[in-house]
Amino acid sequence: MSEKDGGGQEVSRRDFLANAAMTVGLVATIGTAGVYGVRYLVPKAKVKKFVDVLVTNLKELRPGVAREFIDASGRKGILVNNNGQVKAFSKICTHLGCEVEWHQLKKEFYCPCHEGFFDADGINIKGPPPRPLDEFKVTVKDDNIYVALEEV
Amino acid sequence: MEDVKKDEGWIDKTLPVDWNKVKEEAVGEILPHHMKLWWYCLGGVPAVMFLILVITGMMLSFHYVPHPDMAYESVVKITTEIPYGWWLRSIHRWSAEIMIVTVSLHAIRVFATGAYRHPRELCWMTGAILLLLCFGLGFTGYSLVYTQMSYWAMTIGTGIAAKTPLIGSFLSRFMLGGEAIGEATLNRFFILHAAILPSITFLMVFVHIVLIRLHGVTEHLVGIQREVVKGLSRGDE
Repeated sequence: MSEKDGGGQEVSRRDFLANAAMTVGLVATIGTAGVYGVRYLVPKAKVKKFVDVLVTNLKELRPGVAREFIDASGRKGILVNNNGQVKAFSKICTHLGCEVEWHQLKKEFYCPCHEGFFDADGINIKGPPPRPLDEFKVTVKDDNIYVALEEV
Repeated sequence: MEDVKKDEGWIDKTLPVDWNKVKEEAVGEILPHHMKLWWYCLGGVPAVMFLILVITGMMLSFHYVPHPDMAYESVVKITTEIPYGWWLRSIHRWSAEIMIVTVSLHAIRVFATGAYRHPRELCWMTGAILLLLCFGLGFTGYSLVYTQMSYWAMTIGTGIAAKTPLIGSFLSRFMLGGEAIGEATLNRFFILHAAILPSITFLMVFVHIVLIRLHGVTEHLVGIQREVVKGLSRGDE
């Protein structure tokens, strides 16, 4: 900080180095403490963990057939085999939380509370539901059907 | 920094403070030579520790629960689960330890060098109160962890208070919030540790420092002789 233009006092090399070391030390200390403090005060975002759970197999779940299941925290889901394509959805209607039913002939999910309809892919097609049904990831391995459920 | 009046900026206009004067007041005091010996600087250490304790204490109180069922659990959670909780708790604990040690050494130094003598009686008195406040803070803080050691420290501490003549049982019942250690006790100790005692300490530290600055640091007993002999003036170098 030895300035020739500002007309300030000349700072000796020794003073400059001492001040610089002091500043770096202070910034490092307070900075570290600040980062640690914020980490301490703000809770970590919870990372959801999913496990593949064996629910049924393709011999049981023939095309057109649906099957209910319950996850570890008691929430209901429904597995559907729509002509060989297996999908799993939450049974909770996205409108007001009633339980949807699978209509085997129409290949639709139907919510009896307010006449809401979802197609076989869970897309809301008729009635008040504002968005598609929540979907689970399904894995089919050796005819066994696994659904990715949240760990508790 | 050298010449404020030449180009007054927005800050200088809105906050008309002569910073050079403030700096001069804060760090420019001329001190006698013996103040360079470390045992004359032991008063500043507990002051800095107190500031660190206040900050880390505020942070810890975000996660601490003063309830018999939760106190120890919350301390364990702070130490093992919450990010950097162990770090803050260690700083709080060790700062407390250092504060008690240095404040005691400071008192011994002041006593040994006779620095309490007239006209600095008030400084010594506030210092004595501060020493007791430090012990009070240490005792209440130790109890808040609510381990076996804390429990028996509380039992013994309040037991000693109960043996005070005349006001003993009143004191003990005031501290415990009843006849035995329970929910009320932890609440009381927490309020004392985190609010009441620190506030009084803060006030006392302020008075203590103002008194020191008003009087100036004490003349060194040997230093005075040296001044007389060698004709040195009191001051730097």
